Amino acid sequence: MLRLLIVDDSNIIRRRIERTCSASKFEVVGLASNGLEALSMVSRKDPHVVTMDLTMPKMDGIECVEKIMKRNSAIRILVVSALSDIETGILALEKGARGFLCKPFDDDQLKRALNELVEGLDV
Amino acid sequence: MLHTLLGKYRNIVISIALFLLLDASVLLLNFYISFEIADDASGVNLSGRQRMLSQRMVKSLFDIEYSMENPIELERALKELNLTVNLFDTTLSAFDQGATVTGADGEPVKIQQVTSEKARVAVDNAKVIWKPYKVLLEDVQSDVDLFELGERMSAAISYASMNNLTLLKLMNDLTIELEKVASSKATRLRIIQTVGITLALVNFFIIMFHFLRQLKESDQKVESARKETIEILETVNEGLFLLDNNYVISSQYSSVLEEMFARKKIGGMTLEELLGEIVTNKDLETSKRFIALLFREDIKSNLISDLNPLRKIEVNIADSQGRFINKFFSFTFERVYEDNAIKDVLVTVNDITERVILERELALTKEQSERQIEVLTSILHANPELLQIYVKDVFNSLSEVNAILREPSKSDVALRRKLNDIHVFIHRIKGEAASLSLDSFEEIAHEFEQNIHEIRDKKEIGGDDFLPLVVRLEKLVKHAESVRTLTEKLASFASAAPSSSIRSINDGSWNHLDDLVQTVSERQEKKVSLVKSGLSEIDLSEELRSLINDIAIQGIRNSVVHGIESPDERLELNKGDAGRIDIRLARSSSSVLEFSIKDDGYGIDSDRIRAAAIKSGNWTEEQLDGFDQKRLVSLIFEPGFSTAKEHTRDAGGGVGMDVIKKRVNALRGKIRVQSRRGIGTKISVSIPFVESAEKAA
Repeated sequence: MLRLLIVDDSNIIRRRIERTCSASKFEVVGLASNGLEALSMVSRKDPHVVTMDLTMPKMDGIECVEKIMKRNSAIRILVVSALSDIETGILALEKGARGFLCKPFDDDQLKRALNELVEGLDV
Repeated sequence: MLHTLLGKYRNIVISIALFLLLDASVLLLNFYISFEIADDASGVNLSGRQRMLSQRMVKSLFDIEYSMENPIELERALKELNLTVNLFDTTLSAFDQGATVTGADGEPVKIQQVTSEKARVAVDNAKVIWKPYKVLLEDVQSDVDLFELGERMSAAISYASMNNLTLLKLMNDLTIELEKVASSKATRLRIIQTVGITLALVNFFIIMFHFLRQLKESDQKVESARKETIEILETVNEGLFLLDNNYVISSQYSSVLEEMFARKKIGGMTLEELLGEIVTNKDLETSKRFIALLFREDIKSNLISDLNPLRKIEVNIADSQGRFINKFFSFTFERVYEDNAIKDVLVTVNDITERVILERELALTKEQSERQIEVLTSILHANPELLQIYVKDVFNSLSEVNAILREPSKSDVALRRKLNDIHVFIHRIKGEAASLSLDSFEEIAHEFEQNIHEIRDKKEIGGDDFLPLVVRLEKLVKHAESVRTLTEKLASFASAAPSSSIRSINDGSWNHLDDLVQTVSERQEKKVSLVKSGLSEIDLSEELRSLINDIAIQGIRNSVVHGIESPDERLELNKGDAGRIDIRLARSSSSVLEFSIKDDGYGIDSDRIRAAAIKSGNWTEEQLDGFDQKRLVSLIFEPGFSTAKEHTRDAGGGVGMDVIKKRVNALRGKIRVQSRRGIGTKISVSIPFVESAEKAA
């Protein structure tokens, strides 16, 4: 099982990702609503995969991606965000995220993106 | 590794190796044989010397005989014989067994044992003759007296004279035989060399032939592949090119690319050169950053396709006449791998202008049909007669606006007056639309009004500034037409169905004012109740009804927007969260109609009026300092005066009150404003009145 951490300030999105992933090879190990929470969960739960919102209170997604990468660059981060700002998305990938999924998304899109994200990942 | 390295060159490598091997073996054989020939030559040389030595021995014997009386000469002759015999003997046994002997130049020479049959016979026969001959000759050399020497000499000489010629012949045979052997080896050498060189040449030609054929074949393959590529690139409708990680475009690209970008010789250009002039710098930079991600092996291209900034981009491209044409391009990027590494990015460019235009048209059509449904809904809710009056009014107003727009005027003042006049009409259309809940009408009129404000806020106005208003006017006219059509259709339905639920103004309820209060207060997030009295009790002419309607609409709007506080503010002021507006119509005497509209709001804020007056630039602070409260309040009847913080749909019109004043004045009426801070505002209008003929009758 791959440990998955879900980071999003929207409760609805968090629940949706959790629901979509719980029936697959992922084990949801944490739900964080901002970057600070996400960082502490990364330390405690050691996830393989993180889904990351970009616009969040306290610490935004870009800073969070940067800090997660400093702690463990093997963690695969999928940015899940609206396409209002392509540049921020690109910046997140430049900082170390591995993929981008545009909001709004359907369950299939999410599953496909996550499966592609973890391809070749040894557990 | 070696196998892959050899690959398709295996045959040619083998051929060349064979060629070298053949050459090397010919060379080696050549060396070997030429050494042998060198040996044979010295053999021939030495066997020739044996011939000479056999004769010198005879000569030495005679020399000894002549020197018998002279001891010195005798010793020299004996010594010479000794040397000759030794040399002959060692050389002969060398031919027989193989050994090293002293050559003519005093250097040691190695002689091989003779093997050929004839030479063997010659050597064996010579050995038979030589053995006793050698004994006799050694006897001569023994230290004996002269007599004995004479005896031995005669024995040796007689043996020599018997065998000398035979020995000479045998040595001669040996020489000839050795010469023959040497010459046959030389012939063999020539044959080997010839064959070797011939084989090498044949091999060389085979290699050449093979190599050239392969070269030709692969050239043909490359050429036909190139032709196919060119054909594809010339035929496809998409712009295709490869981009390397320095953003440089490949030398080959599809022909349509030149057309699309109106550029020649695109190969070798950088992306910046191709796109620099037609997209914004920001888009270009973002695109380069996106492409850089595509060259990163750790990122899956599928997972970043959403980030492509050039998926749909508006570009400005000059055509052949130098005119700039607006187009929409769509770029897609695909990785190109070589040996499992990302080598290039294949860029596909599509002109999606038609698609985008179609999409926009569809959206517009959808919006229009939605608007029609909305109009239909609001019409169904509105009073049909009032609607008909309204639409008629709108058409009249719009033709007035049209006339004003056509009026020639140049000076800034004249243009501003013109703008103001237009505003009066549009503002009325907007207010009335709101009262009838014709949202779309209200919206279009609001946009029109916004446009007027924009023009008015300019420092200087020119005739061209009015152009957008013409477009707005057209839009309003079109909309009014569609409303009229719908209204007419609806009216025909209504007449066909007498039990229509649509309420009529003739019932005197003036319910549309309730709707207005509802709509505006909801938008302003306020709570307001409306109390009407006397409106339906007096029968009015159409003119008066329209005026009172307008005053009511304007007054309600002012009260809700400016007068009545928000529920929170009201609670703080111990007023109750809902505000109240009273509208009252009554006859004060037989010939005077009194109409009033009163609210329990904040009252007219003279500070705000002052600030707005200063902002309008029509009054100076000194002038305003001289105004008393009453005079300040009267400013609200000045044309173009507004206190709204911003122009919303509900407020900020500012022409409302001056228009009303004009219309009241036109009917020889009076208008009065009373206001108390924190208590409320009341607007009273008194108009000379004659009851309509029918009612009076």
